Amino acid sequence: MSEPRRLHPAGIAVAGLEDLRGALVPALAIALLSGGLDSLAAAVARVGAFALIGTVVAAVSGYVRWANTWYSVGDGAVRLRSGIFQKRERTIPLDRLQSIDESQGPVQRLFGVSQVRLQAAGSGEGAEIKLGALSGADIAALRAAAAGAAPAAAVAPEPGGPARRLGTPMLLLAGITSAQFGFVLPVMAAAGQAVDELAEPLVGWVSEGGAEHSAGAIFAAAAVVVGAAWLVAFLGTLIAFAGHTVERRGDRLRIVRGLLVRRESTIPVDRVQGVLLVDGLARQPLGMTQLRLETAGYADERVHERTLFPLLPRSEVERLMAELLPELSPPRVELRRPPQRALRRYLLRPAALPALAAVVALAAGAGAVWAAAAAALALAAAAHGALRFHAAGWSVRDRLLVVRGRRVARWTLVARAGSVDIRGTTQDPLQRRARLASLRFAIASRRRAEVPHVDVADAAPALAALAAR
Amino acid sequence: MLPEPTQRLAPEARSLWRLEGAGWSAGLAVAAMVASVQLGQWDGRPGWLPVLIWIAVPVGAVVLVGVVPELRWRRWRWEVRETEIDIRHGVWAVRRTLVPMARVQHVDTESGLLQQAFELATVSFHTAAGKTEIPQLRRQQAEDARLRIAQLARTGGDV
Repeated sequence: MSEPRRLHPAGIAVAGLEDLRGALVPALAIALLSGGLDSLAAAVARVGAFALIGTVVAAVSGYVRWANTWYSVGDGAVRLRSGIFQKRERTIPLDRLQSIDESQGPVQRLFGVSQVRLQAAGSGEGAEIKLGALSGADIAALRAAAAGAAPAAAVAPEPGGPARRLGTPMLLLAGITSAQFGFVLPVMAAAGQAVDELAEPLVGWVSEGGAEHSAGAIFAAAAVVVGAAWLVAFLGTLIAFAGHTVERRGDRLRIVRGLLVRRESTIPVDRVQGVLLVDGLARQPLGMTQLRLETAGYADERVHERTLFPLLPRSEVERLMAELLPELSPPRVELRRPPQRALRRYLLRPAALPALAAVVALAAGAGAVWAAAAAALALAAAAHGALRFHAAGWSVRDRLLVVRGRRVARWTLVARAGSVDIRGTTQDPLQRRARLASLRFAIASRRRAEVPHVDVADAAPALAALAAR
Repeated sequence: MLPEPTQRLAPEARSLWRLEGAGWSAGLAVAAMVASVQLGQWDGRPGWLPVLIWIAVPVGAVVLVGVVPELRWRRWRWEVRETEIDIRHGVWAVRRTLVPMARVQHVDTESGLLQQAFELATVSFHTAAGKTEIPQLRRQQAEDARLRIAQLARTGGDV
C-alpha cells in the first residue's frame, strides 16, 4: 500500500460537517442578530437562508479538503498529507504505533465506513493521525500493511476475553446521579417557600428599587437553572455511555460506548498508570462508584475517554478489576489513617477564614445576617473537613500505592508503585510541633494525591516503601 | 531510615535573592505611595491605616532583603543518588521531595539574566508528572549535576 490513497468519498460529508459545525454558532448568531430582533418569521427565514448557504459552502469546502487529503503506508511509516495552500504532512513511524482504533459516527454509519485513529506513543497532536472515512476493505489493507512492523497495533479487535457491559438500569441511574448537585434540586424547590422571611434581608439587595422579587421567587428561578443543568448532565451521560462495554484482550483494554457517536478506544495496559474510583456525592450513599483510568499520554483527552466503567456497586469492583485489570486490582488491605489528633486540623483550618470573616463582620457592624451567613459557611467548611478526615488514608502493598481522600466526592487512587514519579512530605512549624506532616504523591498521569496531617512516624516508611528496589 | 540530603545551593544564591527582594520592596513602596494617594481622597479613613502602610514598607524590605534570603539558603538541601533525587527546602513549610531516577525523562539547565550575572544556573529535571528544580547552583556545579542525572537516568531502569 505504498502509493498515496484518498479517503472514502464519504469523507467529503465528514469534512463538510466538521466545517459546518465549526461555523454553526457564529453563523447562527449573525443570522439572528443581523436584522435586529424583528419579527419571528423574518428571523426564521434569515436562519433558513444562512443554513442553506452554509450547507452549500460546507459541501464545497468538504470536497476540497477531501480531494487534498492523501494517506499511505510504506517505508516503515504511516503518512498523512493534507492541506490546500499550506501543505501539511504528518508521519508516524510504524514501530511507534500503539493502536489502530475504529469508530463510527452517524455519517460513517450512513455510508457503511469507519473513522480510523492511528495513535503513537507520546501525547499531543503529533502523536495521532485521524482518517475520517475508510471502507472496511481499506482498513483491513491498512492493518495488513502495518502488521509487519507493528504487529500488536495492527491486530483487529477480535471478540473474546472477559468483558463487562453497562446495563440500561445502571445507565439510567448513572444519568440521574451524574450531576453532583442533583440532589439539591428538590431541596431548593421546597426551601424557596419556607425561607421567604429569613432570606429577605440577604436577597433584598438583589431586587431593583423596592422588593419586587420575593426571596421565594428568586429561589424558584435558581431551582429552574439547577434543574436545567441537571437535565443536561442526565442527557449527556446517556448519550456518552449508552452501551458502554469494556473488554480485556491480551495486553490491551478495549472500550466501546456511545449512543449517537460510537466511540471505540484501545488502551495498552502498560499505559495505564492507575485506576481512580470516584464516589460521587449522589452515588456514595447508594454504595456506587465510578472507575476511571489514569493514563500517561492521554492527558489531553476528555474525562469520558478515560472512564473504565461509569457506575457499579463498590462490592463488585473487586470482581471487575480481577477480570479486566488485575494488575491494578485494589489490594484487600486496611488503609493507614491520619491520627485522631489530626481531626482538629481538618476541622479548624478550612473553617478559620469564614469564622474570621464572621467576627470581622460583627465588629464592623455589618448586621447579624451577614455574620450568621459567614458562621454557617464556617460550620459547613468544618463539616466538610470532618468528611475529608474520614476519607483520608493510604497504603503501599504489593507494588501498589493506594491513596484515598475527598475533595467534593470521595476518591480512591490505585497506582503502580513504579508510576509514582514524585513523592514527598510537607510540614509547617505548627505541624512539626504536633508531630504531623502531609504526604504528597504525583503519578505519571499528572494526577496528584495528598494525605494531609499524617503522623510523622508514618510518613517516612510510606516514602521508603516506594523507593526503587 | 531515609537519609537527609546534604548538598547546599551556591552561597551567591543569597545575594541574588537579596537583589530580588530589593526589587519587591521597591514595588511595595510604590504600591504604598499609590495607596496613600488614594486614601488621601477617602474622607472617612481610619487614622491607623496610613501609619500601618508606612510601617509595612520598611518591615517588608527588611524581611525580603535581610531575613528571607538567608533562611531560604540555609534550608535548601539537595542530593543526587544512584536511585533517586532528594530535595528539601522551604522557609515556613518544609517540603521534602523524592524523584526516582528511573522516572526522569530529561534534564535541563537554565540561566536567567539575573542568574547569569551571578554565574548561577537552575537544574530542572522532568518526569511524566511534571518538572522539579534545583535552583541557584554555580554554573559548573549545575552542569555536573545535569550530566550526572542524565547518565543515571539512562541506566537507572526503564521509564
